[in-house]
Amino acid sequence: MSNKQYQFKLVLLGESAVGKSSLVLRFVKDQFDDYRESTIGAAFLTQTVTLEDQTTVKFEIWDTAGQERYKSLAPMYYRNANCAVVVYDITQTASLEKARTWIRELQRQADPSIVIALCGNKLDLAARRQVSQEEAKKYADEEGLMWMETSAKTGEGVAEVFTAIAKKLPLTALPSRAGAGRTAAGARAGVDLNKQAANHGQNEPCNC
Amino acid sequence: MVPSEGEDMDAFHVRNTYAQLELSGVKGDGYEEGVERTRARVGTSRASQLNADAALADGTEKKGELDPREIQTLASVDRYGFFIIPSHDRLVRLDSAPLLKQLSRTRGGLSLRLAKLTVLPSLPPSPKPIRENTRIAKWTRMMKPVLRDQGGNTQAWSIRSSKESKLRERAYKGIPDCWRSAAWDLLMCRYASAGPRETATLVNDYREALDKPSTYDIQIDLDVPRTISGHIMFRTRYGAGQRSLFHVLHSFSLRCNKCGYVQGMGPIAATLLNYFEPERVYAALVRLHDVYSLHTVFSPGFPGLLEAIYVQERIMETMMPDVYAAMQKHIISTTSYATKWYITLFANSVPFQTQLRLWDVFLFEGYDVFIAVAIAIVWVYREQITGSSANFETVLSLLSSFFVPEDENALLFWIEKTLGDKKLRANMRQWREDWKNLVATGKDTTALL
Repeated sequence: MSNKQYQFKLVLLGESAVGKSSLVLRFVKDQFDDYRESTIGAAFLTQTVTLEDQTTVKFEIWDTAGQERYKSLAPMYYRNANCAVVVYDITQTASLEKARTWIRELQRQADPSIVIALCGNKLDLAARRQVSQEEAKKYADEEGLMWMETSAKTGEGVAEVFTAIAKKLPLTALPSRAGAGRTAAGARAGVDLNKQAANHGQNEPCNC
Repeated sequence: MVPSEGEDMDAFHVRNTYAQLELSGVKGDGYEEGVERTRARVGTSRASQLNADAALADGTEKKGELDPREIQTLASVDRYGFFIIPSHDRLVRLDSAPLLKQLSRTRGGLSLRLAKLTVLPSLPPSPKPIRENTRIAKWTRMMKPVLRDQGGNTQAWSIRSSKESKLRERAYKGIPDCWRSAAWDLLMCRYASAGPRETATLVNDYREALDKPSTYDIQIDLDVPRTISGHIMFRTRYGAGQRSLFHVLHSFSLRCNKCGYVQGMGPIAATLLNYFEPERVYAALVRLHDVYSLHTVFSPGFPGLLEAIYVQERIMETMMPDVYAAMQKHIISTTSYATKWYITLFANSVPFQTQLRLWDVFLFEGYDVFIAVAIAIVWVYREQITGSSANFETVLSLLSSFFVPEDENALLFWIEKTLGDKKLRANMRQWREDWKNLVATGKDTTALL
């Protein structure tokens, strides 16, 4: 029997230009653009992490647009999400406020079992820091969120965010064949892809 | 410049910076990266102040010999001004073979054997337009100046009446790049039933708006340096291209209270800045907004986007029921991949030259062109979408790709045929009406995939 594989839906939320797409680009392709194009609507990507026990967790990532106007589209991306990374920019106090708004919305509207990570990005600009670690950590503790700081530019902390989320997700296999978090039934836990493949009697090759 | 009453100080700082730099210019415009002054709220340390001062141009910038770095940059740009090819997450080839077959109702068992999906390692250079010189000569014979300025430069064009019937076909064959500016202006004026007088009013509106504050200035400034930054005109921070882009978006954000500024307007304005001066880009944006449906696309909630998606889904449902069924099965909503297409008018989803070709016909036909492009993409990949190995991830990854047409002409010809189908166009009009009724009766929320 090979090692277990799980699949989860992850959504990135946060104010415009805090570095959501840059975090994903670093995580998925280990690259960085100083001026990454603004995301329109949302972008879909996938990436897999392997945990110490050789369990693999595949993230279906929805990287959303940050501008307020696009907020009306956000629910379709966080609906049924298993986990969310809410990003702020440590050099912009207002971006933490926006992150709090997103977290309140997730707590009200998203799946109750959603795992939320609060992520302070642009750690490479720590010299211009406006949001202290104490303040952010205190807030995260109060709300029961994971919290960490990252730099998409240097790569610091980026893989750790996703690994930490993967470890915190309930790795319980579902008997159903539902895709990760796309149906009400699939919303609560990851899907054991081995079982899924066994049920289908085939491996689904990626043709992209 | 002084802050307006109630203007946010950070917003004023942004607006004032662009205005100041418009007077002085910046050093190394076109080949240096430039110095950030607004976006990351750079502190006022002594070092950053010196940096900023050193980057101001001194008026001799464009008067002496070209800087070797400038020569190097100029030598490396393609015909449209790109010096680096923007990186894209997934490049796939949009095959021509499926486009040889006209849009028609198909279900399963395709008569056409489709090639396997081709993923490209990098963006190939755009092919040189075919028979370009012949086309230039044809356009030269077709276009007639109707208004000249004091220096004799043509300000407005019309079509020789004997060539009227050729216009549509020639737009689909691709407007020669040297004629694009004139032809786009002409097409927009025709579509808007407007002329030089209306343009002059809009130019005036643009200038007046420059002096007013906009609550969107900070957001616009965040987006300006990350809009087609691989292009020589937009490369240098606060260079001429970035300043024009800021000013156009600033003035346009004040045009419509409902729309304001929406991310996605940037790539549209930047494309237009390749062909028009800023004040005329503003005029063009107003026309796109007023008569080419962009008001409804950019309004809160994006009603025009949802309407286009509804029409796209009806075409899929009637012409490609197997594709429609596959989307239902895999729970793929059309908004999840097509939002970007409809909001940026295919900027950043196809090569620049292809985007220009699509706009050539968009400005002639109107917004339906983009629904036809969306349908073309789904049509080309229908086998991959309906295949037995297809799933949520494969289909969505494919449709989120950057599409490189194997042959632009095949794509344009297919769109020409599709939109030339009077029955389909009538259906599209009816579906737009149906959508409006669904919205009016509150039944729209469950009407989309």
